[in-house]
Amino acid sequence: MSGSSRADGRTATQLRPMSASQGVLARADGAVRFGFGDALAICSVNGPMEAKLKEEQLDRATIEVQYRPATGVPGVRARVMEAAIRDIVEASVLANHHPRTLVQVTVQHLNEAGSAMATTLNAVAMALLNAGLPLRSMPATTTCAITADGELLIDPTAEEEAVAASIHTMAFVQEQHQLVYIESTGHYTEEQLAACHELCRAGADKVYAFYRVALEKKLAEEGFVVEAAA
Amino acid sequence: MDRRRVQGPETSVVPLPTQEALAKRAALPAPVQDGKRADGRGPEDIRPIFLRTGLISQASGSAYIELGQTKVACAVYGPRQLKKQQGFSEQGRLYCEFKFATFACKKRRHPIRDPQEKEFSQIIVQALAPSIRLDRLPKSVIDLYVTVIENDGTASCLAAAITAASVALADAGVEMLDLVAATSLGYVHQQLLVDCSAAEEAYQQHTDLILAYMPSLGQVTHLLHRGPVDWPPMAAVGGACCVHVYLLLMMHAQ
Amino acid sequence: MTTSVSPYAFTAETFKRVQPEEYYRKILEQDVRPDGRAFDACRTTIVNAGCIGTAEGSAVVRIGDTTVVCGIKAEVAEPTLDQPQQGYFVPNVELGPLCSARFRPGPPGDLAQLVSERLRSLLYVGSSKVVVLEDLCIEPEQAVWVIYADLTCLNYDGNILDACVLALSAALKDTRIPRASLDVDEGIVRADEQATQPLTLRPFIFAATYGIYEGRLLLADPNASEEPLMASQVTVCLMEDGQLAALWKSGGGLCSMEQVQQCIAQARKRYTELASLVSSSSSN
Repeated sequence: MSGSSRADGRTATQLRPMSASQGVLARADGAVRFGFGDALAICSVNGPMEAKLKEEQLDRATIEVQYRPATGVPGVRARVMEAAIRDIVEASVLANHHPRTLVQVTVQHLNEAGSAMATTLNAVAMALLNAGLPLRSMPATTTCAITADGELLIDPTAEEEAVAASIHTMAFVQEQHQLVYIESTGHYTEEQLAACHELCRAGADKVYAFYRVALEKKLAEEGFVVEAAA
Repeated sequence: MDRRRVQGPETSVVPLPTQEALAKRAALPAPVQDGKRADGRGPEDIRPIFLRTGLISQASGSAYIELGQTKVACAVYGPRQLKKQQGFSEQGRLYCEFKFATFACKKRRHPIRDPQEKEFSQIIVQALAPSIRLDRLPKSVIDLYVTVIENDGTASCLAAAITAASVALADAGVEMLDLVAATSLGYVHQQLLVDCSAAEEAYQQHTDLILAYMPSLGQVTHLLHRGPVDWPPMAAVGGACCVHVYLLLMMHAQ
Repeated sequence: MTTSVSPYAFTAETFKRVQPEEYYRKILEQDVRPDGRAFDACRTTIVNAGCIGTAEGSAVVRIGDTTVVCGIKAEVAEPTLDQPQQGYFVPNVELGPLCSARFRPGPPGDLAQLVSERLRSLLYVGSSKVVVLEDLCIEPEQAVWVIYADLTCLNYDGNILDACVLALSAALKDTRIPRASLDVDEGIVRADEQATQPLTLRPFIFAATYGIYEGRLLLADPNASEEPLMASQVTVCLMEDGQLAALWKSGGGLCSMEQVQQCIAQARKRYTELASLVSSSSSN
């Protein structure tokens, strides 16, 4: 594969530089601004807190999700985003540890520059951890696009998505790389799907590594000594 | 802007027909020729009825009716408990939501209910409430949902909806005095026509009448009437048609 | 032991209501589902196209008890400035209070919006467009067709997405729009209803949904009572050329890529079945 085949100088398998600011909102239990390059989303998590009587569930925490796009009012696409966020929260939060409570997850997209779903879901995963909720996993999400000539590009920009033949978003948990979420639309073969799966999985590993570094840095700032991973 | 639906363009219109089609439309033949209507019926014949109950498995009771091309589905949920904010009621309440599917009419309907649909909902409630033993259902509400899948004559849709709703109520096991059978009648060019199709409703100087009737008790539950009519024959024909529909319902029940 | 039924006996119906999960598990242990289906069996599917005279195209689909009517209406509008040659395709799903007690009257709920958006995304990403939007152009920059595809659910018994995709595919195939031209002098569009033509369609898309039960069993075409027990669901949308048009995995459960591939393999079998249903359904 050529060195830099893409408009922004990245290689096909290179993610945009990730960024994260943790605890950005003083009044939320957990809040993280996550970004792939220019694509930025902020997620705040509140809870477990008191649930309204009619929303209360006897054996688990109720999860409330709200998503707002960077521009305009939320439309039907926001419902798909909310459903995906709910999947991520359900896969990671130990909801049955907090029966009859409410966990509120709110996402505001700050800048839409491609890979909107992956940016959002990674912000959610980090914010859940930042809120100190007991988690069973931290899902990592990446998007890849297949161009009209069949080239696979990870973490596409908005321009790359607009001309892509298909777009694939996959969320993984770290254990055995099990899948939590897939949204894959376009026109593609099963082999291409498998290739996308490989690429997204490799990308997800980089996202995990980033999670780890970001967390270690934050803990170090707070005065904890982090032992090197075995 | 409706942000809960996929958005199309801000406005869209039905294209106008070509000049030839317009000319053809202006020269309509008489509604009845040699004692026969365009679809071969006599002036006082209703279209063939197809009726099925229980097709909506999730509902307490349901009915689907076809009256020629007119297709109406009706579901009954309840009787269920009246919500606190709806207040206390010694008598049961009947609530109806009537909706044309967006594709049911010649011109596309908006997905949000318009005043006509709200009016029809009220008419259905008025036509059916006298037949139900609402006094036996204190603090409860019966929900009635009607969707018109195809409209071949607006008056016939309403008549079919009343008949289907009554059958659906019976299917749900609601205690009733009698089934309500309804028919629509029209006056086109001084000619009495029973159960008009959409093409016949398009004639100028159209007047119509919808009669909802409980044949066993011989009582009228609702009468909707617009325009000048010759009352005695209209009442006689209307009553006879309702009895005809009623007999079909009874045959279905057996 | 006596044979008479005690009023306190725990009947199957009570068991199902009190402990739905346990009830379901006990039945699945015997390699069968509560409604008697095998794990990979779909419910009886019926497609009836062209049954609504007032619509430009229509289809009624039943998958088991789930019933969806799709009606297509065509109207004329001005194109957008950035796509002067493209028409519009507007799919909307209506899950009203008629079809199940779980839906409230009022604007579409979350599920209806989700299905609408999924249908829309089948059209808008990449080259897998169901309708060729350029063919809906009457006069560039002046007038284009808007294809409204409205899907009304009449009976909700689970797997609404499959039923909607099937109804949409069958209705689009049945659609004939009048030949229209722009009258330049008057600035209005006139349509000849006698001369109609079918839509230019890309290969047909069909969907098949599988529930993943406890992370191990694949259950085809889950119904409304099974859906809440499935930790995750995989929907595969296939096209005529054997390629995929969409793949969605939702729900908080986990699944492996092998399971996804199994779903795709099963969906291929279902595809041939559905394609023959649709091709034999047209009334004209």
